[in-house]
Amino acid sequence: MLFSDRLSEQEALEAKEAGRERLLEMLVSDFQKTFPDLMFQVLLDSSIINAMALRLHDKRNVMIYGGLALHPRLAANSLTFILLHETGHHLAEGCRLVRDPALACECAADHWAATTGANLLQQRSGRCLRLDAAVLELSVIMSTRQKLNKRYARKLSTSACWAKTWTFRSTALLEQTRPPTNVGCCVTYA
Amino acid sequence: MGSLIPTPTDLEICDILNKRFSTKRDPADPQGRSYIEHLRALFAVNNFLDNKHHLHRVAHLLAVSVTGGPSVPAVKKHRLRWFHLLHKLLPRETDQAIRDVLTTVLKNPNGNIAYAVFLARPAPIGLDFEIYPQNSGQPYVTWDPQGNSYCQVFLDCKVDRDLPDPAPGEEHDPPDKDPVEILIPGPKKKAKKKKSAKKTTKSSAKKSSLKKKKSSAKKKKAVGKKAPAKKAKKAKKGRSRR
Repeated sequence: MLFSDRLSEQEALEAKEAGRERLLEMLVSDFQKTFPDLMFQVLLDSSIINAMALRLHDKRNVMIYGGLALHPRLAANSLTFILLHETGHHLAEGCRLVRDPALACECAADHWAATTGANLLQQRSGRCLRLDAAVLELSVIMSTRQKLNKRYARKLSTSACWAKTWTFRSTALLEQTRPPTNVGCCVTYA
Repeated sequence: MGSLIPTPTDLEICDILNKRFSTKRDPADPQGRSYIEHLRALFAVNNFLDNKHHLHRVAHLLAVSVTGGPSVPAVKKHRLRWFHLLHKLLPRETDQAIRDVLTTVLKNPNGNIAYAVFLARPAPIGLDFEIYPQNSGQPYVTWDPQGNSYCQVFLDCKVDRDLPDPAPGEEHDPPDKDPVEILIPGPKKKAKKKKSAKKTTKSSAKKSSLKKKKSSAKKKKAVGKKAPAKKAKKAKKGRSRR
């Protein structure tokens, strides 16, 4: 995450004033209750606009960084989806991530979040994900950040992976498209 | 590591290193070994991770040995920042820890490192940048679902701001050669088809117009020759029908 986008202090302040920290506390509590084997962390000191799933010493971690957690354009539904997506990296089956074979790929994590993950969350914590609202909220930040870069267009066009652009990804999420299962279909930049 | 928003520049750097340290077949190796096995053989002959070699130069050589030409990241501005980080911004201890971890990966003394994967992550650490765990120089080895043990190389970053641009002329692209340079062969470049030069000087224009005239004359002749034969064939067919 050396070249990630970062949130300005002003934007972070805007979200804090709107009671974001309380919402994050409630979300983490619901997720911890639903998925007790995972560790959920909100790292507000980092301004990076991103979230991460990481397995370290057999502990399964989900981290959401301050830039994303405090993004003023996001709200409960998109933050719920973000945490479900990262949880999906740990719990979804199917295609593996090229960069870490212990984790599910982006498409598998998305599909798990929109289906199994959302159902489990509702059953165990009562928190309901409105996927259409989440996609709408995320579109504001993702449409500019996950565009099909011309430089990689040829490489990515050969991939069946729909996590390569937000346009494909949001459509697949709303239609609950099954993720590709063939080996080596994930997006790589090498 | 799985992340919600892909950061292409980070992924370019990680993916090229992941490939170079992977068990995929190296197309540049005449013996048909994997990328990492080929690299291990080269490392045994020339230790390119000793202190006579600069890390940013090594990173460049590793990248071009996979791409066969262009360095990584593809965008020059980002490339210079990446070289600047490896050249000037890494604490001395971190520079050494990178060399130590990668040396163990390549020597593989315990035979327990099938491949290595790389990632950068924000972390509350002591120095600005560290190699996990705490610059110990020991590789962090874990297992994939197939039961292969592999090394995860984490670059932990405390600094919560964009990587700075180097001052003009501070970093060279590509980085300057080290005195004892390692040669890491890469895939051969595909030969580009040469386009015929289109010069429109008066003399060449005259020549081309002459050629066109000649060729068209030849065509006419050829058409003229073929035409009677065709007519004869048609005539024959007509007769046979009758």
